[in-house]
Amino acid sequence: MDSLSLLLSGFADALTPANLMWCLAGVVLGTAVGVLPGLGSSMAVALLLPLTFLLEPTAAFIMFAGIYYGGQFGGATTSILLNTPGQSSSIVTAFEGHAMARSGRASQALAAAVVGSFVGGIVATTVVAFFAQRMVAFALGFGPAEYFALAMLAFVSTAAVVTASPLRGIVALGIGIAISVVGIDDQSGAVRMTLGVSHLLDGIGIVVVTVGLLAVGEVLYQGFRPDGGAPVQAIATGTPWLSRGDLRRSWLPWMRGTALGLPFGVIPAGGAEIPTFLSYGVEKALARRRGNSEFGRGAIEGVAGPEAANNATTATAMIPLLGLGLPTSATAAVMLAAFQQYGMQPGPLLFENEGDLVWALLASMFLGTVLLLLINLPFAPLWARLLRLPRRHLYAGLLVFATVGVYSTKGSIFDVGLLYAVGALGLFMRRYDVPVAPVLIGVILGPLAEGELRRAMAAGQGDLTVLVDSGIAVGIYAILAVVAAAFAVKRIRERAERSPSRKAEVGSG
Amino acid sequence: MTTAEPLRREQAPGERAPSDPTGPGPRRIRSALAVPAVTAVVALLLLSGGALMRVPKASGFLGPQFFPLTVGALLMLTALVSATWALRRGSARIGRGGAGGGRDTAETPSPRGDWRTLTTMAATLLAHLALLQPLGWLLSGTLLFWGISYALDRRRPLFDLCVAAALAGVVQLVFSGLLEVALPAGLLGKVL
Repeated sequence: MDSLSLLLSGFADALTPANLMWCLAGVVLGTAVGVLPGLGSSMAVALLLPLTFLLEPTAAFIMFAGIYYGGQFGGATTSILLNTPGQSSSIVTAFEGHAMARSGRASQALAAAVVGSFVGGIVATTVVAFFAQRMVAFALGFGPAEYFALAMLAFVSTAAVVTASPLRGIVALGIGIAISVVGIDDQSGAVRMTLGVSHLLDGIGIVVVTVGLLAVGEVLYQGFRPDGGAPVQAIATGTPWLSRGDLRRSWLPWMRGTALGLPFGVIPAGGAEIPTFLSYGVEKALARRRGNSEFGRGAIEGVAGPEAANNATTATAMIPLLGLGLPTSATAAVMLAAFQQYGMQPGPLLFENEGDLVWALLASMFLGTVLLLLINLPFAPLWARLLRLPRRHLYAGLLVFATVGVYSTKGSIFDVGLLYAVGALGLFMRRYDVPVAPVLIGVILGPLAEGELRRAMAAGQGDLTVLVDSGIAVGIYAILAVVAAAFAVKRIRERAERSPSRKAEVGSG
Repeated sequence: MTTAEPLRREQAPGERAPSDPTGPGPRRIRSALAVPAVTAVVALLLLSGGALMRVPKASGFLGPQFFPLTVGALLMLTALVSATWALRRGSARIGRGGAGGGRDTAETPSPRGDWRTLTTMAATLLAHLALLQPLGWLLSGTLLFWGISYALDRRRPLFDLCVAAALAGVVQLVFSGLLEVALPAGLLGKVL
């Protein structure tokens, strides 16, 4: 019951009028960014990250929670109305959601998505509030070797498992680590990789990398890609509502989606992509067994389940983030960057040193979910109107905010130049299908991996066995091996399925 | 600057006469080699930077060089492996007359892009960087918004200019008025 009283005091911190206003502003801004075609919650969080630094920490994290949930909902809106998912985790929502919208059930699809996110978010946040502390108690026994193993697990799973091509994932990860090495090494004081540029002595800011890769890269790519000019047709919507029949069909998928999503947030398997696909598959199979499947023509179950799974996963991602300092998705990586910007290192000590802040953050995750339901359910048609803004203005505005945001963090024009350079890298990566998320993981966890490795080796005087000296570290490497093996089996099976069809193609071509 | 490299590197194939993007040939291979090439550049930077680093005497057990060198070596290996694969796949495809195999190369999107739009955008960004300090946010921010929207769609430049000026003004008001962040005042600041 200790958690409950701490959570209540968190609510007391979060529920001031000023903080509520920041949370509200966050929800509105996050939805606004998330609703832009092709942009999702990780973009919303990254783009608005510099803005939150202008506030004091508690207000900033409360606003952050709002931005995050707003972005999530905005992404679902574009998936349903425009068929342009802003992130991999809302791809599934577009399948059935857009089919529903085409057959005139856009408002029901939106409602199923919003309420699904709400259910998933509330359940998962409750789990976080009660389990984060246990995770902390467990993590207090972690030393350098365990943290190094964790970083390796995150590296392997984001670079190799989540992305379609492991080689490209490794390339992205390596680029991220290379960026993280720039600047003065804090253990020895050596100057590394600055190429003689004194501005780089402090290293390349995480904000610059995130905003550059996600926002600037996207704008440049929009201008560059050959089919960029094709206009997208938004489907109009009314106020979202659910009839009794819709509710009866949705509530079980909400529950199942939530249950599927919960465990995936805790393991570093690249965020909500896998559970949303799983939930979609489960609902589809169940509908087929019932014999009245509407899948393919707009089944509400196919929106309700994945959206709940999506939000449940992203909320439980807070457990490893707060308890271990381990981000399991791109959005979580940006959150970690936010903590570091305030000079806090998520991990077991965070709950001791910054307990008030953590509990206020958890409380505001509840508030953000509730605010989202209150604001976005009635005003969805208004948000949908934002889709009609001219595309050129959307992207120009995006670049203006990215520039001002980065400039305002340090007041440095050099950083703005660096932002554009990273944006060029982002364009390159998008063009050649190199995933962006491993770069962020590399930038953020690179220093952790290096620091802990050096600390462990110093303690063991060069004896490599210190890395596998404890049960926990061995356990983590075992998980790593299982993840890698499961991935290899999946690849081989895919290839086996694919080769007959390829032979057919060659034959016909 | 590592990050300026990709842009220059991919400009080279793009400026050549555009050929059929689905066709096989050296152009296709060059496009498949872009990622290994950039990877190799990053790896070289890490390796040379790590090797030439001035290391302080008391620098702990592994020292500051170990990590960049290891990551650099790994990246170099990745670059070599993926370059070999790309070359082998490319020559295999030419041998088969370009039929099939489309699925494997779905990772390499069609090499043609809109270079005109991208050049306008890049010029806008560079101009904004150069002018932010001397001209101040109001003018260079207007230029930034206008340049990007003009690059994407050239039909209503005057209307875009009005939107751009209004947005730059709102940003200035919000940032210096509400959030107390000093944006460069520049020319207008001196006049007013």
